Amino acid sequence: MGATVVTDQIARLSQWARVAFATRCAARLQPFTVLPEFVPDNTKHQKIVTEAQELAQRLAEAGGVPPEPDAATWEFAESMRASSSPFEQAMRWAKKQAADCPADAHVYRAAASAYGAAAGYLLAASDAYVHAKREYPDPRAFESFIECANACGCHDDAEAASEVDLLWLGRRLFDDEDPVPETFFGRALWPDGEPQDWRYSRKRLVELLELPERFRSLANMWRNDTRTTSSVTEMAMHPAYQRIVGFGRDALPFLVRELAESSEHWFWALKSITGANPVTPEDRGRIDSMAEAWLLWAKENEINGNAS
Amino acid sequence: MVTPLEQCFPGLIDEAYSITSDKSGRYNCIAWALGENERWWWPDAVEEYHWPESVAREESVAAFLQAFATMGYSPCEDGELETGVHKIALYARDGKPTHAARQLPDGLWTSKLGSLQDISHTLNALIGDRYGEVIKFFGRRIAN
Repeated sequence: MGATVVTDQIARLSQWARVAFATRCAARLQPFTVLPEFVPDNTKHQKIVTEAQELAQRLAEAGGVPPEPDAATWEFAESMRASSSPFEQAMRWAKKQAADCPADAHVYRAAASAYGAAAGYLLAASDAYVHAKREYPDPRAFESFIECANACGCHDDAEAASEVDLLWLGRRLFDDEDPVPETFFGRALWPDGEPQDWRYSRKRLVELLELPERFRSLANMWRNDTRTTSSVTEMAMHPAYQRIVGFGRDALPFLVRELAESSEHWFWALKSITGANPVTPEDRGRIDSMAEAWLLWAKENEINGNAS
Repeated sequence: MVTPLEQCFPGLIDEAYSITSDKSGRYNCIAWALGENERWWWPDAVEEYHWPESVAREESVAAFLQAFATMGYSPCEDGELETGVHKIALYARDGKPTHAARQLPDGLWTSKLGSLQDISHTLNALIGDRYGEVIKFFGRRIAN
């Protein structure tokens, strides 16, 4: 997948999807911010990236229409853009090393790729920083990144394109007014320290995007097939119910919402998935009280039932 | 025209029956047969639903017999109407209890159908793929 495709893909995204992608790029930059010693002011760049991420996060959390950036913001953003230069310098150095040292060429090519990516990501981070102008992300950031990756024989551009594609697939979930959920890419969208699980596979993300429809379909099938039964075991062993249980914790927001709306028999699923037991012995079988107990448990455990 | 309920229970098509409540998921047939409409009774393995403490949580006729006994019911011969006796009919499929109905003073039976409505009906009307057959009757003598 080439640079043009990625740039075009980005252009189709909503405002918040672009912010998410730009911030995602900034998140990926973190491992590369420790630059070689020969790069002047190498520690400064780490600070710039961190501040950009923090600001992007605050803006996203605020929701709604982002504030107009002031002069100081623009100045800071420009300084970020300027700071991509040392990364490019490091990339050129690594590429030269690869040419000069054939025995270790693979190591240097990897380093060149990393620094090249870092240069692109930093530009993307600056775009996140000034996102209120709706001029982000500057396609040059991604073209630069893709050129670097291609030059080094790497194919990370495909991964970037894949992520943009996923944001496009998720366009029903977040538009210009609704920020992309922080869990969309795992914890890396708004990283808190070193991301542990940010490399969600494309398959996994597609699964998450399709989950609302799959849940609705399975729940309807289960509801229709079990409406005449009194046997809770028969309800819980129904293949559609079991598939929902198989979603694991991903199913919790949907189960909580269903429970809030209709007090149906989702208790077995909730207990199987969470291992929790919030219903008192006195309330066993009292459906409304059981639902209340589970909804309180969900609130205490910050499980939001506003699933799409 | 066949109603959705008759699609579920084809035996209703040729038998007299009437719907006697709105749909409710708050109680089930076992609760209704025992005369209550505030709890869902079932011996589920995860212990989320009501079941008498002293009775095994298993879907067996023996466990249901014991559960009914806690409410004063004991096995009886048949479902014939007897003055001064409340009767319950237990349905089972492949040896597992599926449903219970309570006898009405006029000899018909009342059932709560899963999460659907209560109906009054004949015993034969609910025999079929869903509930299986009536395999046992229970009775409790009531004070005059």
